[in-house]
Amino acid sequence: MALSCKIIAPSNLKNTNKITIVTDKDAAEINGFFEDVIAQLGVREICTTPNVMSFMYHNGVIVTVLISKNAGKFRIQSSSFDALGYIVQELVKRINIVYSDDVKIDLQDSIPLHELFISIDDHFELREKIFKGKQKLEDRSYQFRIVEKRLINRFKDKNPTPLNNLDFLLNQTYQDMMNIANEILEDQKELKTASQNLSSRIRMIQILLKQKFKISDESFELLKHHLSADIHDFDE
Amino acid sequence: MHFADNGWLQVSYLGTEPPKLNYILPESKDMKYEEMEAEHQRLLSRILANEQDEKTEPDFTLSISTEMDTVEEADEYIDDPENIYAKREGATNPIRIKCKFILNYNGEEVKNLMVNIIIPDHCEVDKKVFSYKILNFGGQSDYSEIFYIYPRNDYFPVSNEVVISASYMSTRSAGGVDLRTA
Repeated sequence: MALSCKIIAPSNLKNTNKITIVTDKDAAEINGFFEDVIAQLGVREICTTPNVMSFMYHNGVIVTVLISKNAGKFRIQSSSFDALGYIVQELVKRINIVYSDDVKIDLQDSIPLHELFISIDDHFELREKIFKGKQKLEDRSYQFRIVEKRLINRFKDKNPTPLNNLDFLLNQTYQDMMNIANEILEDQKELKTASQNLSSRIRMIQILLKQKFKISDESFELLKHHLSADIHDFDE
Repeated sequence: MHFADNGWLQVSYLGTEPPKLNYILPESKDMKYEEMEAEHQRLLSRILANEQDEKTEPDFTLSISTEMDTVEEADEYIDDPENIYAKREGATNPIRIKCKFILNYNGEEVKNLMVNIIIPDHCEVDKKVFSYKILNFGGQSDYSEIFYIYPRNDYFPVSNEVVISASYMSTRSAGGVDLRTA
């Protein structure tokens, strides 16, 4: 976990995205679930609150985990929905380790499918945008080659005809090509981020589905194959 | 179409259009059962021979173990023009985790050894592939290499998994070589 985030002093920032995990065990201290991370990061002095722990990803987004004082409830909250997935995943794994798999984990709210669908739409739109951009780039490069060919023909000609602004068209086409290529590069960066977000949401949904519907390990493997979190944005 | 990492290939068809397959009946001809049986036996013996060959345990085996240090600040200049590496507040050098893989081999040498390091998307590694034409263990059973993992600051983490795998040619005592993985 030290690779992915750091532990910070409990944060009270506005958290609009929340997920509550319910267990059948009594309340426990949060440090017990993240002992190895506290040791690896050397942050024992800031982990003094027994029921709250805040994590900050390297991109600056904070996720806070709160443990209910009366029951074994864990609330994971953050300003970004995409930030929840990783901590939910880690927390569920660690709850199972701490209680040696002898724990019932449930989800208080419904499975956040709406957020998943939004992420799928965003990812799809970006893929479509890149596809259209590539088509546009192909058109412009074709135009560039045609104009270039005509110019070369005139250059070779002993009695050349006037250029008729062909040189201007060549320059303009070249500029267009460069602009479109830069746009595609930007979109590809955005697509990478969208893929990461989608992957994170799918992973979280997989884990929540497993806990909520008590899916066996074997069925969970099947679910992971059907609802895959491995997003590959290669050209088909 | 879905190809899972454990080798399952699944082809799904979503749609309402009925399949439009044209069935072509083969021309009827006399079957030569004796020839078919002979061919079947020949192939079966080859399959069995191959299976037996695969079951042979290698004389020498290679195993990989790993060690991971605590998070530290890089003590050397790391080129980061796009500012993608995670840094501590006010620091100029990125943070990193020092990792080590240790190869343990009970033979003398391995040939064409290639160690691959696969890291999650929110991290970078200073070296992804370590390759050795011949790695001589020279009486020592361990060989180690150090690599550094640098977390990025532009993606949300999805997983923590770092996979280290190796492929190599191992000599057999009876002669010949095996392509092995660890």
